[in-house]
Amino acid sequence: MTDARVIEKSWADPEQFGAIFDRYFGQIHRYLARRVGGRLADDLAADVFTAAFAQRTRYDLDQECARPWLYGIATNLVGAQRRREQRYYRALARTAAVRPAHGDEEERLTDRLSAAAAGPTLAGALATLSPGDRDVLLLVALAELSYPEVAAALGIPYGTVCSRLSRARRHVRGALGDVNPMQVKEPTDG
Amino acid sequence: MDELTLIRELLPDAPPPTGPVVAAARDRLSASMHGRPRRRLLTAPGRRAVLLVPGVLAVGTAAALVATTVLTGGRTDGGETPGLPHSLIAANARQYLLTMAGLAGQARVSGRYWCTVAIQASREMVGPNNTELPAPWLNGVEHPSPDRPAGYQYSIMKRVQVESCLAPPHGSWTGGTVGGYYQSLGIRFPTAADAAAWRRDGAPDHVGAWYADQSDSFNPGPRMWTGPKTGQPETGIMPWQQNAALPADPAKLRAMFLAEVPKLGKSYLVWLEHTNGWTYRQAVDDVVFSSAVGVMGGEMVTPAVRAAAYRVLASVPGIQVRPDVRFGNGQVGTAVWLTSDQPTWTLSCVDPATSYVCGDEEITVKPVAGLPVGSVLTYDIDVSSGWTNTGPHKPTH
Repeated sequence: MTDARVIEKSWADPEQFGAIFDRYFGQIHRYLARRVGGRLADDLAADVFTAAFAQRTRYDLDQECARPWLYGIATNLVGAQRRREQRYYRALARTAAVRPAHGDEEERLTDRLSAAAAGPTLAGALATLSPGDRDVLLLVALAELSYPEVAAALGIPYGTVCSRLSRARRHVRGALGDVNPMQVKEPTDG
Repeated sequence: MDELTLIRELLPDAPPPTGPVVAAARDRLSASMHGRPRRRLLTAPGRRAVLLVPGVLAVGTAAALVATTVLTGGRTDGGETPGLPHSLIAANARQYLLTMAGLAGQARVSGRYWCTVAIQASREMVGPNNTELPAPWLNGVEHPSPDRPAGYQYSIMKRVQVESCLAPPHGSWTGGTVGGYYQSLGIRFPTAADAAAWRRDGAPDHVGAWYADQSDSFNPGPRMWTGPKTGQPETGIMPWQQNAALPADPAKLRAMFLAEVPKLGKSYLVWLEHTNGWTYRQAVDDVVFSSAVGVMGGEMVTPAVRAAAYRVLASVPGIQVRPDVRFGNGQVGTAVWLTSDQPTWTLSCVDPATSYVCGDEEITVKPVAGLPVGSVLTYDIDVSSGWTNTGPHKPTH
């Protein structure tokens, strides 16, 4: 049964909304944990679903999948916690270089080493992004929403998603230093 | 590895919520279902969490653009745009873009590197004790308060300069940034009035950042080398590696853009209609517009494809073009945009001499946080760009 159908049924039978919780609580919690840390994510994730439940009668039933809607609510709740999010980034930057790698895949390990080297700079770059640009960037990077889904989640035009993502990526790229010269080869002359 | 992968690694996937966490959340949801009182909200006292729900945003009136004063005086940043009172009339706007299409089609790729120097800036508001107000004053520009935030004293523009040289794929090189530099340029003021307010406040040489236990200086920072990075951002709708697949036929290119529309979903289009008063056609036009601008800004697409993108853009109803606009950092270019009922618009900058896209700028077209209409919130504008055979000079130490 589609999310839209579940939500429609929950209009008359609130208990039905529990299926939306079961489908998405885990991924919404993980997204929030990556943005603000696990402890705050516990509270915020619960708030997302109580807020969504309260607004369920306004849900557009033509939208079969509720995922962008829930991520939009989650992102807006993070918006009220900007200071905590910044503190989380700073703490993460301090510990990024010592966090152990999980798994033994070489590529994964290399990625982690690169991220560890870039940690403080990258965290600083994220912290200095404008909130709107950061929301778009992290919905793409962490939630892996498509551009149309980000537009629907944040309630902004498609074109604004494009321009914000472009600006955010340029900002982050500019801020990053020569973090992993082993990963890339400069084109040779000739 | 690109920056999105780095972000995923910096903010690694979290373990699933524990059983007690899930149970507690479910209990709260259950309490809501049965009408029991909720526990506290996480928002600060006096503030309301803004929840995005289709149809809840107020429908504003059409933005009334007013010309603002062109600023002069030391340490200001041109942060107020001189307004956008007059676009070219529609027929002339289309003709202008077709002329640009011709120019784009004749462009020569005459070097090994595409090098740019760009200045990026973002506005912050300063409150008591020389400390920036938390950025949620901009808490999603789509949901701004028109009122000035408590404690506001003056605005600043924080600026950085980003130098980068790109090289297209060849041999074992998969394409990307060969190298460049990153430098904070220090704080400037959007207006002379902001500078005056800063002087009244004791002319501090730095302000406390809202996001960290650090300060932002009025003085430039060190110029730091940024090394090579593969995995450049996509060109419009296409990943870097697929630029060669973009058609040079405007009809086919437009069809490729339109293939994005169904992914938006009917509810999104309904939402746009409710909040922006946009018709389905206008939403489609927005997709075509932003996709075309993305391709026009793609340095690594062929001249013929860039020309096709201009022709697609010229076909968008309501396209707005205004030459000789002075953007936030003082750079003069042609502004291209689509109007909407959003409180801010993003103006794309086109260099009329080369037809290349030179960045964009976000301005207010309705009151936002007490700022006048025409205020610049962010900009990212190239001050120089072009093909060269000389790559960036890496520092020796």
